[in-house]
Amino acid sequence: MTAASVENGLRSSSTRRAAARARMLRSLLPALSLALVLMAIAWLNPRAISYFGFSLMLNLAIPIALATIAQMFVISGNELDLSIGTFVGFVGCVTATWLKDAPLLGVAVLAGSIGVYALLGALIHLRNLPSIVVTLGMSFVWQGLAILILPKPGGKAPDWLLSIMAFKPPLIPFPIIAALLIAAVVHFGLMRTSYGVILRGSGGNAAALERAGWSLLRTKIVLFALTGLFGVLSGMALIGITTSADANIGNGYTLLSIAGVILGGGEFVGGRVSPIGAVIGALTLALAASPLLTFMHIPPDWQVAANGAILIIVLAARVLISRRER
Amino acid sequence: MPLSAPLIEMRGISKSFGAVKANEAVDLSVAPGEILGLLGENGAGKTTLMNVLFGAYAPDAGEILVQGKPVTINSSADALAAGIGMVHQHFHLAPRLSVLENLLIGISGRSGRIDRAGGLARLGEIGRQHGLTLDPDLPVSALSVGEQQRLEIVKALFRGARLLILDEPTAVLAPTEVDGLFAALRSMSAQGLGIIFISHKLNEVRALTHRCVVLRHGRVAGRVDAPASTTSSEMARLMCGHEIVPPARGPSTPGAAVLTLEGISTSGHAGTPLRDVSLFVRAGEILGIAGVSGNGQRALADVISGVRAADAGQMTIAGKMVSRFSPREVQALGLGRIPEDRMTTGLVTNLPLADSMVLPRIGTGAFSRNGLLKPDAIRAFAEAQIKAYDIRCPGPMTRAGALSGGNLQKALLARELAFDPKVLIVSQPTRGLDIGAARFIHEKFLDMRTKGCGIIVIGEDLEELLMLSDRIAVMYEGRIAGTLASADATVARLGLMMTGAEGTA
Repeated sequence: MTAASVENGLRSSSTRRAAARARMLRSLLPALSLALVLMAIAWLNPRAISYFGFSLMLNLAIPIALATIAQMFVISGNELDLSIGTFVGFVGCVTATWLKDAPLLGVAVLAGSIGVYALLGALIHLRNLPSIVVTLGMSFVWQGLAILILPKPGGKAPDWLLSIMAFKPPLIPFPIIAALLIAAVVHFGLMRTSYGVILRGSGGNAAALERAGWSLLRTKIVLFALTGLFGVLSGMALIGITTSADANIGNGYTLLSIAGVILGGGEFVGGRVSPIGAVIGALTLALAASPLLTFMHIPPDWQVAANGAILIIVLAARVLISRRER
Repeated sequence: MPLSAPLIEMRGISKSFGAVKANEAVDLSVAPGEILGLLGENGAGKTTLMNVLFGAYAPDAGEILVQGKPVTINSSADALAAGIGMVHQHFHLAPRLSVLENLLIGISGRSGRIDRAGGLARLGEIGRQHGLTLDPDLPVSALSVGEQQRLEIVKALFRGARLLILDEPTAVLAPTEVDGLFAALRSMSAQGLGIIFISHKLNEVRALTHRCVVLRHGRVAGRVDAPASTTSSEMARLMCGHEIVPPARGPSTPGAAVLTLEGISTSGHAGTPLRDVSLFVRAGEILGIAGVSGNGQRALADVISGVRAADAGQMTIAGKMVSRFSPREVQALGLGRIPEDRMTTGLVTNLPLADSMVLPRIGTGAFSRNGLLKPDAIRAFAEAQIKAYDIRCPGPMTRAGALSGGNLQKALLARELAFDPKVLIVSQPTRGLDIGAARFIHEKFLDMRTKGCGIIVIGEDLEELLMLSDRIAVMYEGRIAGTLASADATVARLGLMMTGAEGTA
């Protein structure tokens, strides 16, 4: 018995250290990749590392971060939202038209769209449908609605939204403050509240959660509604920056948001997500997307491909590290 | 009986992982026609040794001889070529492919085509020889667990295995299926195949094997040359290094009924529905539920734990009527449940162990305030349980999924017992656990019984039920076929009732 416990002690202390190291690497990796991208930018164009430079480069980071958080909620429940991009576009069109001209109608439509998301969650749970199929279908619905509302690019963001997004705080650029705020709020809600544990658990082991007395229908509805909410915030933030809308404005966000979640340390299944990581992932993508490539003098035609290559490299590094964690 | 030169011989095998010596100077040999039992507690090094033999690990020292010739086995392909086949605890089958396609995977047909006719002929031949019949065109997903195991064995024979390694093959089988497996193994042994049989169940080892090797802490702790005439307790002593005394079930005076079922029936779900089930458990009493699995035990556990509502009948817990049948309601009334499948319905494996252990009560004042977690309270609770139940894990923040089966079971037990349930329902509480861990779990149940908890143990291991229970009810085709006081119950009598042959009121 004593020999067994000694042996066990030895094994657990060495595996504990290895696992702790891997866990730390894993949580540092999103920050590390962001630092790498920043260093590359600083090296290519030192002047970009300034208040003005960051405000400019990270301009689009806020809506990307919000969309990534939206995607993260469905991923916590082992689902995927392929409609978030066109949904952001739809919200953008509503924001640039009704929300400005008929605020009550605009607010009602946006609130209703969050309700649609909640219903989708209920539908997916009750009919046991694959979310990929349902949200792929919905992506065409949102796109169609967006075109109906705004057949050609135009509209204008409400003034209050413009002034929020144009806010220039002293010392630290607004996008950085906004990113910190988003990460802190969501981290608190998902990681520090008791219902947050339930939400994450629903992706880890739904059956065990049900046995423990929690409603899976409710977790699914809440997760989808949160996705809808953050999708609305993302669309509004986007229009606050671009000032006018276009039905296709958010199309790239579907894949960006999924990549951001995974880059930030999340996993497609198993309820392992990290809000802080997701926001960092979104910032990394926002920087790598165009500023870095522009500074590298990569012609715009090639930027999308280069972007994809960066993504593959970072994700591959992540897989290597999480494998060691086992 | 084995007389000729060894089919396979492992000499002085050592294998370390970091500071841990998983195997140290292990010698082992199997003669043609011999069934060798490999015994040891969880973590004694059985699986490591077999993985060395099957080519998954390279040994640090030692050699492997096949029919007297030294061989190097670096991969499972090498092992297969040397005539070694292995049936893992978790099957390696392609569920969407048919039985025949699974057999033909990895065997190159003529110029890339599948040799269907040849495969069918071999399959039929193996089936006739050992009674291992399978429908070649059924997809694997349509096979029962027992049939999948049969397919794994056939697959090894198909590839010409002369030595078959079976890692806890009976853990997944119902008692009737075990008989079929043993008949097939005996038939293979009669034809000169060597078999290494790994099991925790000593009665099976005694019934089947010709010789045993017992491992403890990676070394050979003893060899048993005549398992049939060696007692289980002698073997257990070799495995654990000390005497294993079955816990004594002292007398207890049962109190009032804490759980009653009256005429419960169910319908519209997978598996056998319940038909007019009435039973009761009193405080300070253990009720065993015996039966061949698939006779309604799952539905019974689901109804009692509130996962499934009954169509007809009434249930009370601690004197209160259960109205809505939700897990939360029965939990609030004082029911604890330990499900049979701890990985898929027990703990949430992605969450830290600590969070997973408080999950049913995470929203209560003990662990959160106004919806905010109290991480210190949760951690302290988990640490106390880890200590009290000797759960071996790096710490309370480890992911629950990283724990071994025995430790997961202890964690679940700790979670349910920590809140003093009035009624506890457990299914297959010690399946897959070694003697030491099983003993620990049994003691906890008996402790709870002394403290006045009413416990229902659903199981197939009759010896375990007889040891624990005050009364044993037998389920047959969704009904209670009869209830015996454990003083009147014998394995033979229960066995008859389990097949529907005898009923007592």
